[in-house]
Amino acid sequence: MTDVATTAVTGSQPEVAPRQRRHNVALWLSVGWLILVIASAVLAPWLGFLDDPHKPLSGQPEEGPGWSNWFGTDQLGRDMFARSVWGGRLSLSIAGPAVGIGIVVGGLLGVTAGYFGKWIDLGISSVVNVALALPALVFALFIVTVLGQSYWNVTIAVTILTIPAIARIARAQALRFAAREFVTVAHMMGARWPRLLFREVLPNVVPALASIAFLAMGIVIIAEGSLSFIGVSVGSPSITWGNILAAGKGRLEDAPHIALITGGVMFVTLMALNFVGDEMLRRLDVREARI
Amino acid sequence: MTRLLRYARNWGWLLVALTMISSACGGDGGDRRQTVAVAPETPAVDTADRSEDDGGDDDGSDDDDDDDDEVSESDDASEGHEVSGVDEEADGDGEPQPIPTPDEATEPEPVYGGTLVYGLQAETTNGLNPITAQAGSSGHTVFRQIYETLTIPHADGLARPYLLESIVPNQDYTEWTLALRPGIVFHDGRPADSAALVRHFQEVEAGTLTGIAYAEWEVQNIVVLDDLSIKLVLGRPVTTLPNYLISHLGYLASPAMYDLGADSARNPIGSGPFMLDEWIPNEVTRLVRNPNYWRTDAEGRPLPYLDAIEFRPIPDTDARLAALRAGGIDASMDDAGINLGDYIEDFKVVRQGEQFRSTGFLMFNSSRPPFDNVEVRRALAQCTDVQTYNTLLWDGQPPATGPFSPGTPGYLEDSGFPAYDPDAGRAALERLGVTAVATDTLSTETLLRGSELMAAMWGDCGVDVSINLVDEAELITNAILGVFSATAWRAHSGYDLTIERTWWHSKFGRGRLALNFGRINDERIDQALDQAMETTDPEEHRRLAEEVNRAFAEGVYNIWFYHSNRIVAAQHDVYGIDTVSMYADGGYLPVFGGRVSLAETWIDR
Repeated sequence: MTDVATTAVTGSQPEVAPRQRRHNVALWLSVGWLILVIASAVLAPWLGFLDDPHKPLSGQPEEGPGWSNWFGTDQLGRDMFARSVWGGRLSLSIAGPAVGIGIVVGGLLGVTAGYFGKWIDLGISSVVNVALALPALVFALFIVTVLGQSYWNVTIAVTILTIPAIARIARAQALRFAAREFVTVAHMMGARWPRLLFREVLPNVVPALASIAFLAMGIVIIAEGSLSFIGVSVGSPSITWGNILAAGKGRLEDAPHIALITGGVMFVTLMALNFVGDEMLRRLDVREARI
Repeated sequence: MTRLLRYARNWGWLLVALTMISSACGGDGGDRRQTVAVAPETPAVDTADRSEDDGGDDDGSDDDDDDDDEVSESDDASEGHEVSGVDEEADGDGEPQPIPTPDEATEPEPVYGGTLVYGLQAETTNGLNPITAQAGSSGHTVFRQIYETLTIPHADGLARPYLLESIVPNQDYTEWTLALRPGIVFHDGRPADSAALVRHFQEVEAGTLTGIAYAEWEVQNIVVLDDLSIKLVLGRPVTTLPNYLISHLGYLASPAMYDLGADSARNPIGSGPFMLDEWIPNEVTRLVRNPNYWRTDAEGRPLPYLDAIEFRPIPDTDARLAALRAGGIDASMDDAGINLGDYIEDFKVVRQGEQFRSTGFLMFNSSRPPFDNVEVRRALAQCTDVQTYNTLLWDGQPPATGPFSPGTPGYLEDSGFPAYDPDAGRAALERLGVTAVATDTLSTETLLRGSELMAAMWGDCGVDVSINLVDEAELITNAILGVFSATAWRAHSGYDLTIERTWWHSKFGRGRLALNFGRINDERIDQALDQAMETTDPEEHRRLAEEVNRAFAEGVYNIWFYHSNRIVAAQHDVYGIDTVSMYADGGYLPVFGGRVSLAETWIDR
């Protein structure tokens, strides 16, 4: 019996190792890409080699990628590399606060519902379910239309979308951990609910939320891009990946680089966020008690 | 090839201009406005006068009541059309010949039947009643098929009768006698008669916006003369009344439509070549053939040729072009910019001539800070590189110098408008403490790019620009209410200074609702517009228009960009776009204001 098990484990090792290595490579590539995108977005105003993203005629209009304009130029001859970097800056600066607020508010709501249960759970879950039942894009569109197009209003719109989704995940995690032995033991040892909630349950939920945050970032970037695409995100002349895509959609035949390169940057960023999020979920599955 | 065509066309226009100048200097009376069109107590503006536009005598002797015979004697209907995609030939002297229309070049016999799918730039706001609708060129294109107007514009600047058979003033232009053509019936079977005319003017008077223009005439009384004629008795001289009737004020509808009240917006009843079959806002306006249409083609065949037209609003320029390329639509209107070459390369294109083009501009709200300060407006104009703007967006055309396109009375090569001088602009703005402004624009690609471009230019002068995207209805409403700071706009054909009066005179800029959207308050402009109402002399009109142009330059009420390049592009098997064979003297203005007549359009498929 032991021999069989040993053989099985030994036999599977050559297959697991390359897969793990591939995972590691992909993970580090993803992390590297995210660092690159975030760093360039944050440092954009100080990067001397970046053209002014609004400056017309940095090159000939609708010129393809080349040495002088790495990502080519758009209809007004504006440098697409600079616009992609600045577009990322705004897209990420909307996604960051939206997800951050979503994690804090949604996380607290979810953990509270999951830990206390009963009527508190019923109340919070009902609100969350109603919010989740609303068509997300239409809801965001409604908010932006009512409040007006601005950075903060778009951020508010996508933040409101993230809260119920994160609350639901946090509730599920809290339910799971609230029933675990170490929480029961702590309770039997006389720990009161604040300690149980904040010292036993919440620390176990946070890693899951952190990994969800990466996935949520991707979703929020897509949501903002969708709003931009239909012309209701942050107003022009602000640059987001979404409004670059919108500007390029009509020129796919004559200047495909406008939409495709920016779309590619967006795609790789979302892939990286998803991959890092998945890996975190896989690796940070905290099950140990503090007590 | 495109460049050759453009050169040839410019030479053609030069020839036309030289011909006009020589005939003006030829001592034949010259005053067409007075002698051809509105000679007192003569029915000079009637169907009989159309044939003497080539400078013939104007003593009023040809003002008999002959009508349709002369109409049907016309030659080619589309003289004066500017058509691309057709080779232009020059004679031995290198002078360009009149451009043949596609109909001339390959003209098959008209074919009856078929449905034309036509791409519009926008849906009409407020329905299909022309009195209450806020129509742009798209709305007018639909209206022209359903209603038609009492008069239509002509190259000499004075409208010709259309549904009217004649329109004649008295000696001092305080009375106008309007006579309808016999035999015109509305879609509901009622005759177009004097009762319909009276009702029409009553509705115009009651209209919120049309009433403002109508009030200018100071109508004292409407007298019914007979079944087809009425007399408008005015409280002041109005020398150019026919020109008012080419648009909103001229669409004749059945009284039964007005009886419907608010429902009239969904139940248009005109006398045009097509009748409403179905209207699904923002999707399709489907019109079907009017079997009782009054007009025939040059050969006397009944019109229209088509069984139906489907108008489909496709606001996005690129999407419209893509739909045309994919064959999803048969024809499409556009205000062509950098995509002009694409249209000419792939489709049959009918273009508006150089004359009477509307102008694209940034309109300041002169009643709102900071744009109530002329120094701010001037500084921003100095910060705007219009040549670059036009190079990137409007096919490289030279900057407009005012509201009048070349060939239009009032056009000035140098109006005195501030030149591009960013250093001076920046210094002025710094001194004035202006650091942020807002503009409105439609969300169409070209206008949005234009606003971004302007934001970049003004940004270089130290001014942050926020751009508010609005739809067409909101843009118009904001303009009427004056709730905007600056907005991208396109208007002013310059066809008649007296018509522009409602847009520019300070008396129309007061109150909550105003047609003087920019709230311009300029004594020089007011005086020139007032004088234009009193005179019939075309040279005086020209002088006054030039005065207005200079006043605009000095006051910088707008930043002028380009003169609109209106086109209609159609598949190669579509013929007769904007042909009106009854006006074949070369004076018919195709695609005027972007609108066309489709009564003589057919598909050879």
